[in-house]
Amino acid sequence: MLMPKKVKYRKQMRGRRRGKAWRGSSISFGDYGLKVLEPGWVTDKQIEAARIAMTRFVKRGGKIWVRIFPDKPITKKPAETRMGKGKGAPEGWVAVVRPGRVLYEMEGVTEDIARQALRLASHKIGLRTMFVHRGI
Amino acid sequence: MKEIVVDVKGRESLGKNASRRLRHQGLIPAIVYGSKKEPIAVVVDPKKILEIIHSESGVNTIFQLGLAQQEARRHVMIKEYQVDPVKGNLIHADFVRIQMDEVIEVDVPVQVTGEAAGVKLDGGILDHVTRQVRVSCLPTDIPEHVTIDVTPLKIGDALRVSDLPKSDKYRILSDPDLTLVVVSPPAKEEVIAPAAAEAAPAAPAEPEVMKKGKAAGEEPGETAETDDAKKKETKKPEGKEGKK
Repeated sequence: MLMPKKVKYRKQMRGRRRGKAWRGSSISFGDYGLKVLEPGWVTDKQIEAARIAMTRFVKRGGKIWVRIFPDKPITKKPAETRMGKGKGAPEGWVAVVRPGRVLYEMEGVTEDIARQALRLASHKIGLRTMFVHRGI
Repeated sequence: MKEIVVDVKGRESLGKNASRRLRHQGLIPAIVYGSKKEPIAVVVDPKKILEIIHSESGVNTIFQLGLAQQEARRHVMIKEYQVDPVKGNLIHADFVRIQMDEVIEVDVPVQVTGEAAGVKLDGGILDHVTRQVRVSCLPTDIPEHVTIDVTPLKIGDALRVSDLPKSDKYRILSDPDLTLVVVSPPAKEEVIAPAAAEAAPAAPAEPEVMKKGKAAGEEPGETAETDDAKKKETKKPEGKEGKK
């Protein structure tokens, strides 16, 4: 799974996800992409599952770019634990996404195949998404 | 060159709120600058700008801007435009004044023709590394695109800026060694990835192992603390609370 090699602090505050993704919101590498339409967290497992779904569908052809990276640690308190006594232990990693963020890009396949592959990927991401192609 | 005329109005009220009100009316704020003159804030219909962007010559189209009060019609070009990241509609445009007798620098798209032999026969992937090249030319001689034929390319072959056809009308400014397209082999990673994916469900504990491994790369003191904390959690959830 994706995670940072080195972090400065083990735990982070949850933060807020206001506004739109003004950076990383256009197609930069490929011809087609998957854009997220609502704010949220995308976990490392979701990113990997979606990538695998796309890769399996396109088989040999095509090139895929993953435009997000899960660099935010998420903590969780153990089950049946009383409240208090400090923050829970790190449990996983998420990428913070805001509406407009391009999650994946594809190149070297036809639009039909790209649409189907990205549709499969979108089912792994628990957020509303949209298929986009280069240009406006 | 087709003569396109876009009529604009001057804009007195500047800033976020005024711009937002304009967008509610279906117009967008824009700015005209260049040619060592003062910039002018204007209001423009985004439909006309979109028509220009979607035309054959795209943002390199030179058109006439008709500003009622301050200036007569003059040649301009779209220097930059901003798009809403979610809706995809235009929210702002920059126009730069163009002197028709002065050489300008523009980015011209690289158009690929043909199907590479490496893609057709060997199943390679044609990778567009560079999609635009910087070109210096007169405003009347801006090429719509620079065409490059990829038919003879086999797997591992690449075309560079130096392979682009030369022309008397324009001069290519991009680095001659810059790669335009490359035919990469059918990626082995992509073939291996499904196998790895199949293995993944069989070993759900793997991410935790990787997490520990990665944690070892951090500061030694912190790592030890992390490992201890995890052990305590797995054995006694209550014990972790007592740590503090």
